[in-house]
Amino acid sequence: MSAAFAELCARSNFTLLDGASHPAELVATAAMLGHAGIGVCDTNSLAGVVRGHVAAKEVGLRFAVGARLMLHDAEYFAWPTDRDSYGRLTRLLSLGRMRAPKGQCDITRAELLDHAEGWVLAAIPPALPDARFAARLRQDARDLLDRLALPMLCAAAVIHDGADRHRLDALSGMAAAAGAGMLATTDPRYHHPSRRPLADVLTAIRLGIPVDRIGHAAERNGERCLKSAAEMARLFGDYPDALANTIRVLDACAGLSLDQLHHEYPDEILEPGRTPLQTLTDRVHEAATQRWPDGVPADIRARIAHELDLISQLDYARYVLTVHEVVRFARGKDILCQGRGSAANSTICYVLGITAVDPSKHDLLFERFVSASRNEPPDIDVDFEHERREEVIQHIYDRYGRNRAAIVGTVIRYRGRSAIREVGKALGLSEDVTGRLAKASWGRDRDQSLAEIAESEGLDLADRRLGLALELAAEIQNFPRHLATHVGGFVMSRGPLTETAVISNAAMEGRTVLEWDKDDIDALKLLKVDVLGLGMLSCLRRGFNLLRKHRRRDLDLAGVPRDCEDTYAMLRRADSLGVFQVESWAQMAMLPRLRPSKFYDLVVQVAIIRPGPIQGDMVHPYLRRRWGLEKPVYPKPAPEHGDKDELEKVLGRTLGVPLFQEQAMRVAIVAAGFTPGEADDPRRSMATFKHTGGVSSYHDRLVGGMVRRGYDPALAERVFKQIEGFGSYGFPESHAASFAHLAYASSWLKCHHPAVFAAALLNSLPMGFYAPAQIVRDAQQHGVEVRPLDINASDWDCTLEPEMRSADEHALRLGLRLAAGLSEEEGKLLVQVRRSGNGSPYGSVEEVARRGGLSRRAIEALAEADAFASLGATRRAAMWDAKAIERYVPPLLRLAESTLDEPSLIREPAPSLPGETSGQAVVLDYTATGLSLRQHPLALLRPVLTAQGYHDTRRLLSAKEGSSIRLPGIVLMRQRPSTAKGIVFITIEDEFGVGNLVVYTTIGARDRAALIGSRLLVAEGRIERETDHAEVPVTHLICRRLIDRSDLLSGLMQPEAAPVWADAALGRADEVRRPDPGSARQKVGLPASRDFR
Amino acid sequence: LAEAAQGARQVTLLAFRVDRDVQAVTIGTGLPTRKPAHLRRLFADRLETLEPDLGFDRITLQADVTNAMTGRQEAIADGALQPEALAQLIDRLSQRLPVWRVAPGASHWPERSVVRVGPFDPVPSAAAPSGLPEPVRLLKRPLPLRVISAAPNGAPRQLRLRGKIHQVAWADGPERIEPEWWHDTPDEAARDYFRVGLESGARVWVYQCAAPEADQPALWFLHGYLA
Repeated sequence: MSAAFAELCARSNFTLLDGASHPAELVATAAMLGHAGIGVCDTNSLAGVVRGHVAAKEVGLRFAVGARLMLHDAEYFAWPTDRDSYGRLTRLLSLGRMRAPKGQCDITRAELLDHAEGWVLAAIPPALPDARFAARLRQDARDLLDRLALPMLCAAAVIHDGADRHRLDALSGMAAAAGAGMLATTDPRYHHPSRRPLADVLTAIRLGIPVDRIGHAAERNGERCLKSAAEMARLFGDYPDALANTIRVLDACAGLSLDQLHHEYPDEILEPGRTPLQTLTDRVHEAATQRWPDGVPADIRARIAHELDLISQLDYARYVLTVHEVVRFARGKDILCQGRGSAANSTICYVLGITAVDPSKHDLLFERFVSASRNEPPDIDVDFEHERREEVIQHIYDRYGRNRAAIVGTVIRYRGRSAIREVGKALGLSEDVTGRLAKASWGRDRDQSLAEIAESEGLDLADRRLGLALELAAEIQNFPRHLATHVGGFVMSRGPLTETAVISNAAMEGRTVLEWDKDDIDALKLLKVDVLGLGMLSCLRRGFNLLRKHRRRDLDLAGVPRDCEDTYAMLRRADSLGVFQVESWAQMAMLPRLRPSKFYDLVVQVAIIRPGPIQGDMVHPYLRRRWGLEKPVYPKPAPEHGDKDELEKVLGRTLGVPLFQEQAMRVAIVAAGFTPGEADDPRRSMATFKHTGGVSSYHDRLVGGMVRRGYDPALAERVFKQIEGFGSYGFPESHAASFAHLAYASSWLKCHHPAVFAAALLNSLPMGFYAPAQIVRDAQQHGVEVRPLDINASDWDCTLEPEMRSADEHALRLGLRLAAGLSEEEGKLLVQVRRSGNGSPYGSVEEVARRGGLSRRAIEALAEADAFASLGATRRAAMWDAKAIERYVPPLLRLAESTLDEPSLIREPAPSLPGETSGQAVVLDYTATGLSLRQHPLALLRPVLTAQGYHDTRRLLSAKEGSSIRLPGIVLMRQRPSTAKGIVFITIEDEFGVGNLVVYTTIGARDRAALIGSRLLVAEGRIERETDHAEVPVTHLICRRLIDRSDLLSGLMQPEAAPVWADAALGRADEVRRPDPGSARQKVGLPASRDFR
Repeated sequence: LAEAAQGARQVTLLAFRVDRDVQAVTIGTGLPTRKPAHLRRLFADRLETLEPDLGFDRITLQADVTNAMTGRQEAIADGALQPEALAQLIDRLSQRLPVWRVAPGASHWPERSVVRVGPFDPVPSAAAPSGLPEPVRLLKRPLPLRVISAAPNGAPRQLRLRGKIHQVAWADGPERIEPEWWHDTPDEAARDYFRVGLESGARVWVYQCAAPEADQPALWFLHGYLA
């Protein structure tokens, strides 16, 4: 029998750019090799231990939590043995991290000694232990005598470097002299010898040099892997104690499991002298009385009682109260917020104002939020106005202190692009090759291998280096690259958080971040509050403010009139530009077909255009049933298996088609006999099944379960496919309901107050899918008069000016914020100065500069945006004046200024500047503000386009279905949804409207350059139109060919919009054609398209 | 040259023959020099290559490449300073033979751990020594050995080199060195090196590697001598 052994010093890839195996790989390999347990020790970090802990639990292996502590002059492995000593370890690491620059850790020996009580500590010797090490070991053993859980150890590594025997000999002597023990290890950097190349690549990336030059930093062999217990017994044959010590450590560490970690939410939220539950109960009743002054409805009261009961059972009262406190703060500051996620299933959350959807109206299950059977923390995500989220975050830090509140981390991992780029560089591939590969792997299909991409890029796969790079890039996928800060997941605690997890400074000043990411937090069942930012909330807040100011209408999210028929009618026309969630190409194509007419239809609409339902092929069955082409059928189980309507109850709301996560989950429970725990959140259970035995076992259980209960096997297969689709992405119903609520509110605003909506949207940019040009144009199409940027009329934000002829009785005045290059500070200053001068308008460019004290850069930005037009100063004249403005005033002139009160600007005779052509004006408008109120660029090009036989978007609507057209347009958006199997959707625009293009993979691959690179795209193709059952026809152009005609746009900048034929005539007379010097090198500044995946 | 504070690195002698033929002899030096005696010695052997035929009417000497060379104190005693003497010796040798120095290469793989550099190139000091005896001489081609060892992968007990048997006094190892995977020769096998002390007192560096055929016993080689 071989001696028992456990590797305790394994380094995972959370020792960034060093360890070459995932924690789970280490654990699985240790189990396979017969280790008694495994310890993961990353350098100054506990980032990988949760994953190791979870993996070890799955395979039933003992797990020791530890870290490799790197001091200035010494290194140690440390394993805490109970909850308290674990707290000391996290506190020490947090201390070291908070005072060191990001990513580093600074610990002194004195601090180590202070915190080491209850640990197992092993000193790490140099490759050949020397007298210095011996002395330190002796010192450490003496200083820590009786305070450690086990006597001091020293790590004895066998790594086949030729010095193993010497090292073990020396260490055994030194340990004996110090009264310490030896600890057997192989100092692993990877779980298997085959990872040596990757380890070397990581070293090369870390050092920033190609692998050819890392020299002795390379691994000399592949021996720093995990080895079998039998092999270890052979290697340490002369030192049985070193092996036995590994078991002793493992036994000592049995006193600590990460499962013991839980933290309590803070006390501050409680009413003095009351328990959390009492406080919560009081608050809920108070809020309910306010909401229903005439008496709380009985069913609500029943739901509240039921929820309070569960919350008290599971002790979540503090958590709910903490969230409520954050929301109360936001309300107090007039920050719009709305909860989403499963919290929307809770009536209490609704009553307290955390969420906006009444769950009782939509039959939402509270058990989806918290349930006694499902031992897992609830999840409350709250969206705040994105611009004011920072206030909320700072409030949380102020209130609880940086010791007690931290944001969850996010592990940034190697993905297709970054992997090939960095691995290629490490292997010495040229920038050209790695760049091409990285670019080509944008939006690649998941099933397309890197090798296929390389081949399609014309690279020689026989090249050994390239082959290695591709192989290693595939291997490095998903490796952690660095730790960043999660968007807003907060963990707050009653005691110092540093005793639960390692906290470090975030990149952003004044923030602290937890080392663990949200999966780790979930795995440990720690509760977090997601403080998220949502642009649409900022937009709605602005909209409500404008309504109050200009229309004397006081509304908030809850007060938006419900069930407005006009609003739904607008949505059915796919007139949804700017509306939350339903403004994308796919959503716009779906709206006329789905024809929403009530709130629940919107919930469906939000949820249906998701990868889950699309992959599960649920869209078309749902539409057919909605149109009445097909009757909803509810398959029934065999009569002896209970309720024959069991599926109808689950799927009735969505006409028999599962669209929401909850439904997929319920189907698994009622039809296949899953326990709620197994069925809960298909995403998670699929993941679990993936770990433990492949998706097929889930498949067998689901299909088997359904067939056994008398369902048709074909149907069972289909249900499985649908659930598998949700495995990737599907919305929970409550989440969809929250989002639908925002979608409705924004639609209502757009429908009834188009000017208000456009102003609010423009002031909230960047957000959503569309650029200012499209928003302004959409407003114009809804009858809103849009007025240009004006130095004497514009505020920083876009504003409304009373105008009876305009829709919404107000014209939209563009704000200074649209002027590119003008800082917010100077823009606001300008407005303030104008107001303080008794509203007296600015009279000249130099007056603006003088009174406002603006920089020349700011004046130029305003001039470029043509903001001085009302002063009679053309863009060019204003630019000329701006150039003359000097901030530095020589002393003599300054004197002159003070006495004569003359502007210090240098006087020059006004030059005579040539006027701009309309083409130039439009292009310059776009460059400066991202839009033009003059003309659409294509309107100017139209003669040329017509001469070339191109059509326009009117033709798209009028031509017969199936006819071919050639359609030019400015590219607004490219989208390549992961569900669409490589199909790219493009939206283009001309002066009459927009056109939606569908580009199939083969065409996209052939005309890739035009697809990716064009600003002005000409698409040739066939019109496809869907009119049956659609409120308005849904038209696409199925592309056959794409041509890049961006060259035509540069023609706009010619001094005279010279007809194209003139080019040929001018032939050699280049001098004549040289454009005026001012704009010679100016780029054609149409806003770039926005590309989504 | 002295006025310009320059020393010659390359000197060409041009001989113009009466029949308008021009012949050239070029010599190079390792360190900048302007010592006539040194240059004369370098030219001495090469001058034989000139073909005077009817005789030269003009011979010129030009310094093609020069480096800065500030005045240097001549030794008080006779003879040139040490480094200069060495440089002059190397210059003379290089006229006849290739001359190089060895430098440590940054690699674990023994064949790449030594690289040739020019005789005047600086040589970085070797990486931190491991503390164990290091090989001081590597054989260009490892010599095959017959070895009797304790265990299949264990240390050698007895070596047979060219028919002569050497008893092993002590052996230390293995140090496993695997080929550098990023090079273009993935067919090399990993080697287990042993430091071996022979009873004769010689200390040698030997290795064992797997035979090319799978079922053959491992091969042993002598690769160098230890300090």
